[in-house]
Amino acid sequence: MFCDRCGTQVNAEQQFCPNCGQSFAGPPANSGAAPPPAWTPPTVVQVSAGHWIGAGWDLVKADMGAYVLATLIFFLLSGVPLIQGALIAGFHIYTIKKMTGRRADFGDLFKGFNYFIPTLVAMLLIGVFTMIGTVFCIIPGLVVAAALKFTYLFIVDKRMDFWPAMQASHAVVKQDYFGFTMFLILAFLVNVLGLLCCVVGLLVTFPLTIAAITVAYKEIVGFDQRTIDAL
Amino acid sequence: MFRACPFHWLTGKPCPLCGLTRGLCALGKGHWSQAIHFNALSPLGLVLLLSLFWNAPWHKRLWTCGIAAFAIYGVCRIALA
Repeated sequence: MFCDRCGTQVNAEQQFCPNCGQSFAGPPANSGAAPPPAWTPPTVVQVSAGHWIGAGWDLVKADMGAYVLATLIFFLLSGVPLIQGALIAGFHIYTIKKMTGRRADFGDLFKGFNYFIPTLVAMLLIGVFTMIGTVFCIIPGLVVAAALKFTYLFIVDKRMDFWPAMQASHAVVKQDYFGFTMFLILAFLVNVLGLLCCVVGLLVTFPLTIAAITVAYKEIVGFDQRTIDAL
Repeated sequence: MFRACPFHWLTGKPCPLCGLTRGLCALGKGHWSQAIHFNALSPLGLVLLLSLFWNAPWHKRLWTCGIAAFAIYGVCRIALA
């Protein structure tokens, strides 16, 4: 299970979170607070890739220096094997905080490590599924990658484990496979443009991509109020 | 040359999109004949990719036709090779 407050993975028999001290004692019988409703996928999804990329660009533009520095940290650490999933999750957390108007600092980039196991397994599974899709002439791989691109957000925002998060991401994307795949390819092309700007353009286009995915998630799914409060 | 295509790696035959990366790079340098040698539909691939920068309702039809064209071309290329 995961701590409700900070997302750290904890054993079922532990009574307090080792990271933040949150108590896991069962809620009082008559606390009156209803449990949050289970998440249900939306039935109508409007893909607006251009708008999401534009909103992502606005976010990055508003705080260019911090994003460039954050991306530099991200790229330097990406060389370490097996932690990319946690790093991407951390980048999403950083962006969520920016979007909700909170003070984001570089420590937030490492908050993804609170979800280390689910992000690690998700990263490996996404890699394997995408690879299998790629064997059938690239395009299925792109569709798979598009279908799973909200996985990390479901892990950090909805506190899901890796498999429910992947299913949730797929449940959103399957409303419009074509539109979301085009969104992925467009984001990829923007990164190619960044690469063409003497490689350093990537320092802007990479956070733009993450921000665009986060904006899309916010508009389609919406952030969990508990996540916003806890971050 | 760098081979990224698992289909080519497994079967030894070019997949419908094989040569597209090299073709697009050649197009970027303006080498049309070379691009068409790598993948005859590389100009179509370029059009499909560039079309994404427009927010247009005809994307889906354009891409469906484009993918169909690539599939037909790919089958012919394997059959005639």
